[in-house]
Amino acid sequence: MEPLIQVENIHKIYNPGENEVRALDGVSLTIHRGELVAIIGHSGSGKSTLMNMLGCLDTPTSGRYLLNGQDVSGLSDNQLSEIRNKQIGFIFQGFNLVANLDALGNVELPLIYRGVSKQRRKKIAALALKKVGLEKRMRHKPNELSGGQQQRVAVARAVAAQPPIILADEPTGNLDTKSTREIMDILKGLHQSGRTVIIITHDDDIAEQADRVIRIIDGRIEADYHNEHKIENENMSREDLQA
Amino acid sequence: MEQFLEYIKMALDNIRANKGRSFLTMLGIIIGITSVVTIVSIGNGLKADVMEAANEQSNTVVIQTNTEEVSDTEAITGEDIAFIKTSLDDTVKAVYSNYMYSGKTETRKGAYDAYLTLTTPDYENAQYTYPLIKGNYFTDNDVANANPVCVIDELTAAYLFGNTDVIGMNLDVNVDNNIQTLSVIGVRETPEEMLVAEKQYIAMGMSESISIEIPYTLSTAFGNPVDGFMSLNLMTYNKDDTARAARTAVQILNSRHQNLGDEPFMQQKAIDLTDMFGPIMDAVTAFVALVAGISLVVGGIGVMNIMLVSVTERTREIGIRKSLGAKTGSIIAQFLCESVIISGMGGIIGIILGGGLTALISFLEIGGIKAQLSLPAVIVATVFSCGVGIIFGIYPARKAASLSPIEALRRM
Repeated sequence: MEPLIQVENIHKIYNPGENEVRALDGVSLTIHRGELVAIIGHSGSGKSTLMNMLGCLDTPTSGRYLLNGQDVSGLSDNQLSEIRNKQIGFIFQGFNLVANLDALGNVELPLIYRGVSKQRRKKIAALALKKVGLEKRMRHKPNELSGGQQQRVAVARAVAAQPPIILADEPTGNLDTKSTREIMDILKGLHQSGRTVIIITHDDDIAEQADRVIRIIDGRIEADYHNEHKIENENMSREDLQA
Repeated sequence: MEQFLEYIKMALDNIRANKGRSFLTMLGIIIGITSVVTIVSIGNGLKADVMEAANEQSNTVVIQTNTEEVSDTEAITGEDIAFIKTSLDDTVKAVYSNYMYSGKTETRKGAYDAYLTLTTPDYENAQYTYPLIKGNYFTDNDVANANPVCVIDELTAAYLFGNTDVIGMNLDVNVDNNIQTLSVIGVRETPEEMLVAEKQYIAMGMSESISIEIPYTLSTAFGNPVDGFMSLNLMTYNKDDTARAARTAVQILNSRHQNLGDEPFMQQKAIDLTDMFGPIMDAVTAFVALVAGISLVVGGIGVMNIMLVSVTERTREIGIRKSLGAKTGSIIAQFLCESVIISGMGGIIGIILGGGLTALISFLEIGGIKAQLSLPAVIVATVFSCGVGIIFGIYPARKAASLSPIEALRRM
């Protein structure tokens, strides 16, 4: 199967020179269509930088990133915007909803930038909200919704435009146990319906629920294993896994 | 196009979400536009008043000989004047010519220097004269027979006779030692302001204003016969007819005097008060508009300031939008729409307020000014306020759009 994400020896260096910070130090990984991957690491490990790279929010200092077969490491700001719009659905820890738009308006946003007509857009957005159980909250502004509900709006927004990749950055970081379970169930459901889901987290319990876990420490991949096999050898290389 | 409507909707949503701030931003533009519209309208009203005053005189034109070679005797005759009057009877109120003589006059009250106006009967209604209040003006018959009659004004009557009840009184007029006794047949009014002015002239040591109007044919009696005039005045009932009447009169004179050359007569270029006051008023209006324009620029900088604050405040929103696929152009368009709408709405409110103030000023006739709403001012104000939105919106919009999405998202 053709890999959806192919990262080759990516480096990201902040403040090049004496005080340079190697946020990513030679990361290579491949993610296939339909995988549910957890990228786990402590704060400062470089997992957020990796997520920015994978989400085309930032470009690497060096290395190659093939997304859906297209090299995106050297694209312009506007080209990256288009890639994000078409390929990636984001779910953020802080929900990142636009405060003065209601739930429906927020879900419509990526569709607006894709140029979907108003009528179709409203239909798609309403359907996406229905799928996350918010059909009765469409006209509510973010500050009228609970944290769990806000994150469900964010999930609806991420999936509305049908991107191949769902990228969730600590999606349950701000949520209580019940909401966490709800969101994880939705994400797992998306995976089961064939979507590629990548969850960035520092929480082992969340990572447990993924098929595959990639552990980042100090900007390097320290472990990459599938949960079903419970591969404990953390020094096992990526190539071995794929063999 | 649909994309563009989206940006307008986004901008409107945001303006609605920040009503108070949006209004305060508009305030600068509102004040600027209101003052531009009001001041230009007042200027317009003033100009219209001046023009109206200037135009009042322009129902009279002077037609004169074209060259200096034409002698008195070959020029405009009494028959010419009568012919023109008859030809243009429906539009022309008066056709007249006049000569000035200076002479002396003597009654029992004393002897004075006098100004004699030798003229035709229509001089009764001539420009700059006051109405007849007693008796009659001399007639064509008086002119034809050179009857020794005269018309004087109340002031002259008072000097010469001590009262204004002077119809039928006689006075002796001496021009170059030719003495003629004239009978007063009419008296013109002398308004109060002229009496006041006369007192001032006398106080300044000037001689008394003695004015006597007589049929021009009396020139023979004064030893200086006149057969024609160098010019004639033509006054129409309606100033719209003046130019056409003047052209016809010139044609009539030219055809009646073909022996004098190709086109011996022409219309004198009147001293056009419109030409004199127009540029002054324009300059005043322009100056005031400039001052108001400066206040608009200040308002524009206010818009820029608020938009910059708005960019900083909404950094996170910009980050979200960019992460969801908004391109640089989309963000610029959104912010630009916002500033254009804010300043455009400010402009519209300003125009409405300015129009209201204009109406109020004309209604109350403050300072007697009938302010007129100026369409060009309204158009310029609209264009200017939208221009302010674009010019002062571009910098904040570009700043917003150039934010990197992770930079923007990181800020909480």
